Amino acid sequence: MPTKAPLKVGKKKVKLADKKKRAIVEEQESENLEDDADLLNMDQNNAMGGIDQEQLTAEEKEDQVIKTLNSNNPQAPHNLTKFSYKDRMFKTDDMVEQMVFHFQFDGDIILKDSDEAHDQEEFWDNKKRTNQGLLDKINVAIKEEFGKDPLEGNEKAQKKSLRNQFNFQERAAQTFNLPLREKGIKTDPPQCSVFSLETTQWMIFDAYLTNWEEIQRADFEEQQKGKSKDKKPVQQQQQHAEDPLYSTSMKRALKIMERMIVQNADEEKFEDYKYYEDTTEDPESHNYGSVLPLWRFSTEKSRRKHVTSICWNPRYKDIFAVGYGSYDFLKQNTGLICCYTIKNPTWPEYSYTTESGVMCLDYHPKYPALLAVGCYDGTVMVFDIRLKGNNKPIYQSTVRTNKHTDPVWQVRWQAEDATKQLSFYSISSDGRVTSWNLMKNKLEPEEVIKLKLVIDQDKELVENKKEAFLYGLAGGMCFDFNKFNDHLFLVGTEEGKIHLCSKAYSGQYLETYEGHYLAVYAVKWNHFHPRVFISCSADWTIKMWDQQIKRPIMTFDLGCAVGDIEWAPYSSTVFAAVTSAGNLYVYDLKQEKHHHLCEHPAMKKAKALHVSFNWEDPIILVGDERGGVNSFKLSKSLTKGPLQPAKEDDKSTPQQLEQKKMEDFLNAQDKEVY
Amino acid sequence: MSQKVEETLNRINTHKGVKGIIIVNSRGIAIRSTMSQNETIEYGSLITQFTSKAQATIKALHQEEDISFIRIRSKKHEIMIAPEKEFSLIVLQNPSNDETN
Repeated sequence: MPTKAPLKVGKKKVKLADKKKRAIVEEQESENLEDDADLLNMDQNNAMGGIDQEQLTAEEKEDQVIKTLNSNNPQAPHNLTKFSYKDRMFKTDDMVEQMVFHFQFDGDIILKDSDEAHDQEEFWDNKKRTNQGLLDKINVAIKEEFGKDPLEGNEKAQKKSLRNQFNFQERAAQTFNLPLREKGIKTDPPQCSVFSLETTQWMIFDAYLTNWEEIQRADFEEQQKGKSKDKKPVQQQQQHAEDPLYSTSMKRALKIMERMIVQNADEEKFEDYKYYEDTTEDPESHNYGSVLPLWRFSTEKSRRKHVTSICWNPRYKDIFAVGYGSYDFLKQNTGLICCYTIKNPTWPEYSYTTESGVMCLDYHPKYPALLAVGCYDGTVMVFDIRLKGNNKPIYQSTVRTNKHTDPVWQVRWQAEDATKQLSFYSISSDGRVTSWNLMKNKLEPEEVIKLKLVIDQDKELVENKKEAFLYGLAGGMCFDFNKFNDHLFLVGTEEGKIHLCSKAYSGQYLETYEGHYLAVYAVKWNHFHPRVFISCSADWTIKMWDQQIKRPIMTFDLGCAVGDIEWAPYSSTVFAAVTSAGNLYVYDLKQEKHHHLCEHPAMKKAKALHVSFNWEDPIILVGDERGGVNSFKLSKSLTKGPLQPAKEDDKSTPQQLEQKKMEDFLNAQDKEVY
Repeated sequence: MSQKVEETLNRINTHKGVKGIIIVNSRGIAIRSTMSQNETIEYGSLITQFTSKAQATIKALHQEEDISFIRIRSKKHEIMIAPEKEFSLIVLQNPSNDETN
């Protein structure tokens, strides 16, 4: 301890004979130091004061006592130990305060010549003057009030100043502060004992083994109980069997079970779907074919919504997606996408809700889990139906990615290009056709074409050119890519025109087909013939076109707006159309050139909006404005095709045969027209 | 998950001709049932035995074979069993063509 050594040296200089004296001196010193503490212990102090001073001889009094001052405080603790929170341990504090105050007094005497004294004097003078001024003012006021000083003449009263709001004294008294006391108690530490054991891997192993054996035995006993039909376990089991009840395997089992039950309950329809072949013909009413109604797909959520699109899954022939929204401008609501399977017609397999009404959807031909969706507010989205329980799209266009400003009427996936980039096209009534590339984390838009308005070319005069600017863009309603040249595509517009465009020459039309007078609802290329396409419109007609001829080859008038049209995937001459009267029409140009083969009131009292052929089974779906999709089985006469080579040595493929069939029809038609 | 399971169970129960649903664990003890207690215990234990026997047969015929679904069409009704590892789902249904039973 560094403080100890000098302390000893200092003490040695004190003569031994004065030991007692020194003790007293020290005592008094400590008394001074512990003045505050002593106040608390008055009794003790009294006892100390009671010690009689020692009587000294004259010799002793003459003796010199040498006291040395040094800089060390004899009272300072030399082993002060504190817990250091920084280092988390007890530490001895070397830096002890060595300063001792024996007497301290703050003086209040100041020099008369100093600045401070001047200041003070000035302050007092000031105070005096203001007080005097105040008093004079009061006196004047009093004189004004009463005419004269009421105390005039009364010296005694004049001297005694009255207490009022301007003149009063404040008195205060100080009381003793209660001294602080602290009380503590020390207890015995809790008893502790030490025990230790040595262990080996073998001992651990043996312990585990005995435990395992015990569990086995318990299990076995419980099994025995179960066999003897114990009635109680029904409730007991409930607790720790909750897990299997909500497991994934349970979900799967339930799904299969539900399908089984539905198929059992609806056995007849399923047999019709699978095996029944209708061959009846009714030539009198010009119905050479017929359709057999099967199920109606509908849910509570989709009621009061319009079916805006139907799309079959390209890989699984029993799955299809239905988009729900509204065609009514004033009654827009949230959208819904339901994926149904024919295996369970009562309930959708998956469903997604969207903020805005769904207008169109399309399954990717290669990746059947990807579903592109277009909405009424112009958003396009991509859903991955494998992500169950996730109601969110994996991609979504935003204002920042230049989304459409009007409803998106159709979306269509593109075949993968060399870079394996997924992309799809969308068309909207804001007059844009946009291609969307699926980047790693966003949709990348790319404008393909802006649909400029075409003014009748005969009337296009110079002075009208300025006016043309005012028209803006034509509203796109539908488009379709050629099955053989996938850079060619057709666009149907709200004005009734159909434009032939190419991905290669954006910004101009290769051809414009005029014939419809109202919005073109759908335009579809033939599956087998590269030049033929068909369109339907709100002007009650279906028109068939040849890419090289500007006028329609054929026109069918159905008496009310035709909502949708589709070529059959199995034959080049069969197509189906639905009308706002709720009827389904099926045509086969090979069998009947001018009249439909089959007419069926598919919907009772509801507009039929969309139609879609299954790509494998003779099943057709019709969606209506009440949120339902009806399925029909086509009769034998409607499903002829595709043609097979008649002779074995005939090398032509069904595709070529079908194309030839269409070609024959066109040739015959040409002769009639020209 | 649990909500979806409950929803599907409810739907199954309301389908045409469904008489009851029983879910038994691997020891044949019912963990959920829509039928009376006696029926539940009877069906639960007997069908579990039947299932395990059928599974043993299939396993004996081919090592890696396993049963995914059993349908028993009887005179009165149809029993459908979906045996899983931890449980079996059993549903009784009246076939559609004779609803008088």
